[in-house]
Amino acid sequence: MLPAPLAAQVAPGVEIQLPTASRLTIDGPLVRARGTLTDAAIRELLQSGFPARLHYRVELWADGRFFDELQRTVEWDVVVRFLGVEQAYEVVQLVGERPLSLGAFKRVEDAEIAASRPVRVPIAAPPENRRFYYLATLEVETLSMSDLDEVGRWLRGELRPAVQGERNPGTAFTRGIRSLATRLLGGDRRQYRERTPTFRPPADAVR
Amino acid sequence: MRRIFRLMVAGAIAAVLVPSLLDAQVRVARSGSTVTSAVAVYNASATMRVSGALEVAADREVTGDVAVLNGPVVIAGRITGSLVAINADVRLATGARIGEQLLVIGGTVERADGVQVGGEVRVQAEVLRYSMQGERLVPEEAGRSDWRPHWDGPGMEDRPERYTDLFYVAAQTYNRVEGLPILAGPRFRLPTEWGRMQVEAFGIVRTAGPMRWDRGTLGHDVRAELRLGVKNGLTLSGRAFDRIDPVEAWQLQDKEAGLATFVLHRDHRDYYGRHGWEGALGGRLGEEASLQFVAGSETWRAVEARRPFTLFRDSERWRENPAMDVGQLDLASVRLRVDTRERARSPWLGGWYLSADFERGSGTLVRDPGPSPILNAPEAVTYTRGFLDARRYNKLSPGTEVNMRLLLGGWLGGDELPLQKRSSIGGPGAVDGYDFRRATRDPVDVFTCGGIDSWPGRAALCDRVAMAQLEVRQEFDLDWFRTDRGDTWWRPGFNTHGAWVLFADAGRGWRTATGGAGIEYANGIPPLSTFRTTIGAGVDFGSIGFYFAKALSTGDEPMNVIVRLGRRF
Repeated sequence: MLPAPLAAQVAPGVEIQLPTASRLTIDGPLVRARGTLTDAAIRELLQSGFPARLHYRVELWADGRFFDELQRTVEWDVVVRFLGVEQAYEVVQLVGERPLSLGAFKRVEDAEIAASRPVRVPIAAPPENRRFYYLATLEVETLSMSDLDEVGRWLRGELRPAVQGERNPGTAFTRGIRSLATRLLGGDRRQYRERTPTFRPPADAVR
Repeated sequence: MRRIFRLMVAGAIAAVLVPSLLDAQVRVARSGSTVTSAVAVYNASATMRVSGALEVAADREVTGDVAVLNGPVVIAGRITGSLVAINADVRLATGARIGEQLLVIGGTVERADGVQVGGEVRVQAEVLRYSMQGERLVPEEAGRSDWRPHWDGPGMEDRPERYTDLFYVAAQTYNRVEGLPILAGPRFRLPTEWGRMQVEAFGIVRTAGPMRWDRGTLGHDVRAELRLGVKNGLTLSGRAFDRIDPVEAWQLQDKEAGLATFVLHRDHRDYYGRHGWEGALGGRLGEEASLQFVAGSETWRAVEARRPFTLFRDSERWRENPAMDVGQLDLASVRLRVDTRERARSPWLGGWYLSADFERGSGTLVRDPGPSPILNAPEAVTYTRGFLDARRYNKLSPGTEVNMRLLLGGWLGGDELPLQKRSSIGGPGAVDGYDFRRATRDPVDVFTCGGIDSWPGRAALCDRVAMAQLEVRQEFDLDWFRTDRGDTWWRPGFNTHGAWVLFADAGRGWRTATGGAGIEYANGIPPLSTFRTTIGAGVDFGSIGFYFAKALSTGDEPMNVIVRLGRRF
């Protein structure tokens, strides 16, 4: 068996690492979570059937003289859920609407390692003579807050759920109540942020 | 045990076959990048593939190449060929031997002393995204389109989706006239190579008591839309309806209006019945811009507040739903929507939201007399009306925004507007420092233009309204407030992340004819000194925000405390 991961002993957060200087305009940064599922409350909720969702958002900013300028943004998710029948934790990475299984694991520690695997973000800095930086934001939810949003949507009604293919409002209400109850039991949403140092693309790459 | 057994059987088979099957293609590919090499090994016909955990005990030997997806991989024994681990960690225990290469993608290698690897060891930290085409693993192209964020703010549509439901149930905003209007019926949406088809045919049942099997309880909404062009193109749509709709809905989001009604017994909207049809022809540029020409014919009717259930103050009387004009009108309108809030790397074109309507109505109406006891006769009516909601969102740095909104709406020409097309201002979402349709400390009713004092239900009577809003937002974290690690204590349901907001609003309504002093301005915009102004501050936790708002232009107006579900605008 694998040893307990180091991640279990570190403060939760998100890490972002710049590519090497020569590849700043070719590759995006490397982003990974750190110790996000180590909290006892989150693990209890996972075992109770409530999925954990790690939502990543990475922004590339240009450092302006007065105001900074948002250049590009990417988002993706990693969902961890407990499969009761198989007694395993399934980890799925979602980019857009395309899922990628990162495996099913008997131990939550292994699931956390899979959920925390580094991702090369496909937003490289443009070859311009400006200063840039990346900002990574990781939101960890022990259940989907969209459930709550859905209750709101149901209450406010409107045609949107019907027009846009969202789910049955009765089901949404049930899941929303479950969400509320679970949040009262300790589920919530946590956000972590990390910013890279400001960098300038190498001179030979600048147009 | 079963996996180990399969491994042993596969190993025995591979021991016989593998040397002849290690084809040249694999060996050539191994000189390429780590991903190329690993994928080539994985896809080679002789490779033993494992999905999930793999453990090779110290006394075991696997002949040939081994490729593992997801893992984890623990090797204490021997692999005669290469070991490829994709999105998996590898642990090589003491005594482990890999005959050829060790290629790890999306994972790490933990290597004990005394481990032998015959070839190169290459490790790439980042996850490999791929798809499976039968047995073959195909790396995903590093395209960025899937990675783009969704803007979840108001006004943006979700991605195209296919569905077919013979009996779908949805609901609309809870209100004092309908209670919960429930829509039920078939619907389908079919995205195609050339665009999209969509049809919905809903019956409407209104839950507010007393239940009567008439148009107060039953209605319908049937629509069909054809999109020509997947991203850009034309839209053609038609709709037949018998609905109850709000007179104006721009002040609050639907969920806020619904919750205020259901929980607090406060309905901040007025309603009227619409029965008719409309057809539209339009064009769109992606999800960012659309322009529609709409024509239709409607019969309008007045509706009354009924007795829907509310969580609190259920026994109290509702604010009367103001009477409306009754009659039939032909309507023609132009609707423009622009939403570039999602667009990045375009500082001037991105960050805009624009909603503009221009409407011309013509028909016969019986105008409601208001407080006057004299009933009006039917009269021919022709009017034009415009409405503009323009917003600019400026991100100054991560977490810092300065946002502006300008709202103008009302009469543009022709006869007096029908009551259904009048406007009001004041209250949550529209100059927050003032109460909703109250002017107890204000000598001039610039909020409803005379409706507060004398009209049942404090009707909105302004021919025109203008409002400007400005806000500064700065995000913050609440990490100082509590530590999450090891904290199993009960938590309130707020995010640990929020934004403080400073804001200022100014606005008023006016009549273009017959309004009296301070209310009537036949031409142009009233003096800015007559606008009602508010400043405020608050904290926005994303799904809920708390704000204090103080009227500046009416000194003795007490401070308001406002709860919003989502952004102010």
